Order: sequence, then structure tokens, then C-alpha cells
Amino acid sequence: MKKAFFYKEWIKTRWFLLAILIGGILVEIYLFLKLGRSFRYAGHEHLWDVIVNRNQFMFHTLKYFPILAGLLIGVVQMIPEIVEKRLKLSLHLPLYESKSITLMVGYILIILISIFIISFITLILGAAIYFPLEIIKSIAITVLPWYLCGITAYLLVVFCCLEPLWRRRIINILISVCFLGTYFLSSVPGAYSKNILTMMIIPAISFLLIYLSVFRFKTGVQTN
Amino acid sequence: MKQFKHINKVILVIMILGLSWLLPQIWHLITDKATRYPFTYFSSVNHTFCTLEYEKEEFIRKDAHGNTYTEEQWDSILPMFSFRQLATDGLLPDTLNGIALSVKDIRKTNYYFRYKPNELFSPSIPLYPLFESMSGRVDLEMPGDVFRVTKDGVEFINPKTNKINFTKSLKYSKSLLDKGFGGPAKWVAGSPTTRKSYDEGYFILDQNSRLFHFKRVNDKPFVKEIKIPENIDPIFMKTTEYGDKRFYGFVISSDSKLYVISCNKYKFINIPIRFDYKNDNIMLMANLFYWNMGITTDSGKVCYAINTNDFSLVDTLKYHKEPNKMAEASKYFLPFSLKFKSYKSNYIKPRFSAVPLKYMLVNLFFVILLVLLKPIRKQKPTPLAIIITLITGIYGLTTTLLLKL
Repeated sequence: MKKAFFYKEWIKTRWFLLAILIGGILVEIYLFLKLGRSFRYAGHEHLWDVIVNRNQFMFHTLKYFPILAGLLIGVVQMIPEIVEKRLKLSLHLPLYESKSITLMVGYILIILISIFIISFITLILGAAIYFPLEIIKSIAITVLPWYLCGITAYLLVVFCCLEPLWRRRIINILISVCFLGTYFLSSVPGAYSKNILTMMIIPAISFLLIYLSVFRFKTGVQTN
Repeated sequence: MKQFKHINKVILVIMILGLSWLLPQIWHLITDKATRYPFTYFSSVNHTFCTLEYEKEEFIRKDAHGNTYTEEQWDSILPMFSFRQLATDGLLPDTLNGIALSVKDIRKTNYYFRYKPNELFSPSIPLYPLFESMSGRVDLEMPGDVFRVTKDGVEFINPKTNKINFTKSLKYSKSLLDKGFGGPAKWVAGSPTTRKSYDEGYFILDQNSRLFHFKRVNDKPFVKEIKIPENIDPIFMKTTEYGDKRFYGFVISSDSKLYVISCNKYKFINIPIRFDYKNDNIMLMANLFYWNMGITTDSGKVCYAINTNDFSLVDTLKYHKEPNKMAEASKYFLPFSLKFKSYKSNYIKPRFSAVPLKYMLVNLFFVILLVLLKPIRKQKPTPLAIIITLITGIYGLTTTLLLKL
């Protein structure tokens, strides 16, 4: 049953997951080409100086990759389930509903987190060629909330899509916008360094919220 | 699956927190007003505070005694502020308070210093360029490497190769260790810019709270331990490198006191002002005779005139912040707020603040409103809805209405 579940999700999302992986690689290639040009134009010492003393961050473009990836994969996984009412079928399989949804979401989460880890490690290893540990730490702590945002974005899309009522779905969308907004409150590198734990709690809460939507979907809530 | 029903309560909490984040922000967007205090400068002629205010589309210049001045008179009573204009008009006095005046001397002693709490509460990358302090050149030059402070001294890293220069690192570390340095640093203070007239290197507080002056002189390390008076726990330092070369910098201690470190034997001199380093801004406009210090707090601004020579307090002037009635009004219907950003810190983190409990009596009004809305909602409010509205006021009421509790 599990294998069949994974296969179904694989058929549905494989090309988009591949697109996200390629997109991530292209973003990083672009970032390092841009970094190389900056080194050629400004010189190594000057670039280090603006990073250290003027709070310049060289990888701002990366900010939008995880959130876009999370939103995209959430939409391509969930929209067919809702439009074609396939979810009803999935939830009527001889498997606990919570288990079914955990398998569906877990499958994407594992792949998405893997892509993000590859992207994160590539970035850090690439940056380690040019920068010392102190700058690497600053880069890591700055981009980490963006990846957490990508995971949260995916979970919140599922949370919103599975909600059966439009009225409540709008409330869920507003909650999601607030949640995602908290990841983009500052452009100062390292601004979230004292708050990484809270930023990790948000995806955990978002994961829980999915089960509320499934519960409401399963019980056929009609009024509130 | 039934156990997930309780996640509905999580939504409730999330919505209340979300509203306590959004509604106060929206209210501030609509009602915030800038607080403007008159420009205040202590006259070295009248020896009193003089103010410049923009009122009804004209500038009002007056002193603390209520005398008003024309622009020209204003220039003449504040020669340290208007020296360029006076010099251009040929009106700069030759001597003042028994001291001969020259534009060069005035320029040298006219300097500014600012402190904002977000300078202290800000992420930073602990790498520093160590300039050559005695290059013999007029302009400072970038050194070609940066250093980090480690447990065993310092390490110089070349940006071109991203590799450590071990020979140089060893040489400079040895000097530090010979003086008893115990790394890594608690903090490092310095001005990592070539846009200054000279370089005094860095001040490093080690793990044992010993302060070291560290610089590069003729390509050799210069290390000097600075004796910190017993009662001072320095938490922040900002170096100055001003033209008059009287001080190395300003030091803030954990009990919110401000000191300067004198170039004369590294003496710590207390500046007689009151402030809170976590909340207040400091602005200094120094001149040959007085230091004009403005401390801006949440409740107003206090201006201090301090004698430049002996740092004695000469005069103070207080401005009270006019209460923003709209902000005051919000206390009645916004019982608490959640903020992630603060102008006092560059860190993003959740910050809760609540109004005193007496204001929460207004929440009763929201409960009554909830009960009165029964015919429109076509449902009786649940005990949970009443309780959360009673505790969280408008946030609870809005959540209740949206979730149809």
C-alpha cells in the first residue's frame, strides 16, 4: 500500500521536483557567477570589506527559491487531489487517514528537504572556497530561515488546499501569509540568529495544522 | 482522527497571536506621529541653552531665558556652531572665554558621536582589517588582510587566497599572549574604515575581562593592557579617532554609564549623563568649550551641556514627549501586542508587551458585544468564546466571529 502511495505521488510530482532541483542548481550557478564577477570588479579585499563592515549579503537572490519551490510543489500535489476529488478516495483506503496524509506529505517533505539540503550544502561548500568561517556562519544563519520558509510554504499550501470550506480557506490563507511573512522581516544578514528555534517551530505547527484540514475534510464540515 | 479536532485550539491561539501582531501595526501605521524636539545647542557666549524651532513656516531662535534672536544674532551667540558663516563674514571673534580662536582649532574640536542601542544589539561578522598606524602616508590604506581573534591570539587571513598567514599571525599572537591576553574576545572595538585621519587600531576585551589596545605600528604589533577601574564592566566601546586626539573612544558599562578613555594614560573618565544603553539614543556635538549631549528616551529628550575640559556638568534641559493621544487610546482596545522588529535591535525575535491590567476591563465591553451579536450570528457564544474574549479582548472577539465559535 505504502509503495503504491509513493508511486502515485511520484507520478504526480516527479517532473516538478526535477524542475525544482534544476531550478536550485541554476540559481546557485547564477549566484556564484555573480560572485565571481563581483570579485573581478571589486577585488577580494573590497568585497570582504563590504560583506563584513557594510552588511552586504551576496546571496539575496536565493531568498525566493525555497518559498517558490514549496508553493509550487504544494500546488501541484494538492490541486489535482481537490479538483478531481481524488483525496476522498485516498482517505477511504484501508489505512488510517492520518497515516495516508502523513505518507503523502512525508514523501514530498523528504524530497523537498533533501533538495534544500543539497542546495544549502552546495552554497556553503561553494562559499567556503572564497570566504572564511565567520562569513560562512553568517551566510548559513541568513539562508537557513529561507529554507525553513520553503518547507513551511509547502505545508501551508497543503493546509489551505485540504480545507473543505472556502470561507475557512481564506482565513487559512491569511494565517499562512502571516506565517510566511515572518521569514522576510529583515534584510540584515544574521538577523534571525537569535530566533532560529521559533522559525523552526513554525513549520512544526504548520505540519500539525494539516491534520486539522484533513479532519474537517473527512468529517465533511459544512458550516464553520 | 478525532484527536486532531483539538488542533482547532491551535488555530485559535495562532489567530489571536496573529491579530496581536497585525492590529497594533495597522494602528501604528495610521496614527504614528514623529516627535520633533527643537535643535538645542549650548552657547559658549551666553552660557545658556539656545534652541531653533520651525513653527508656522518660520524658524524661531531663542535661548532658555525666552529671548529671541535673528539669524545673525543666533550665529554670533553660537560661534562654535556657526563658525563657518562667521569666518566667511569676517565676524569670528579672535578670542572667546580667554581662548584664541581659529577655524582650524574649532574644526579639530568640533566632532560628533552617536550611539543607538541597535549598534550593540546587531549581528556582526568578527573580522577586522588592521591598518598600518604609522605608514607616513596621509591616507590610510587597506592592509591586504583581515584578522580574527582566537583562543590563541589572532589569525590573519588573506582575502585573495582565503588562507591564514601563519608567520604574521604568530608574530602578532605572541605579542598579545606575552601581555597576558586570554582569547577569544568578548568584544572588539575599532573603526574598520580608511575614511579617518589616523588609526588607533583596536580595543579588545578578552575572556578574563582584560582590555588590550592592539595596533600595527611600523609593521610591528603594538599591544598595551589598559587597566579598567574595578567598578566598571565595559560591554560596548566605540572608537573615535577625532582630530584633537584626546580620547581613544567611548565606553558603555553594564550599569549604563558612559566613559571616555583618555589618550593620557588610558584613564577612564565618567561623563555625567543618565541613560539606559538598551533603550536610549545618545547624540554628542562637541566643541572647544562644551559637549552638547542629547539623550533621547521613550519619554522625551534630555540635553546636557558638559564642560569640554573637565567634563563637569554645566546645565541640563528637558523636553517631555507629547503623548500621542491615539497611541494612548489604543491601550483600551489593544490589550497586548506581539512584535518581531524593534528599532532598538537588529535582531528579529518575538517581543510581547501588554498594557496594565486595568485597561483590560474594557474587554468586558467586547464580551457584551459578543453576547449582543447573538441574533446576527444566530448562535449563542460558547463558554470558550466568552473566556477568550474576556482575556484577549478584540483579538478574541475577532477570532470568535471568524471561527464562528
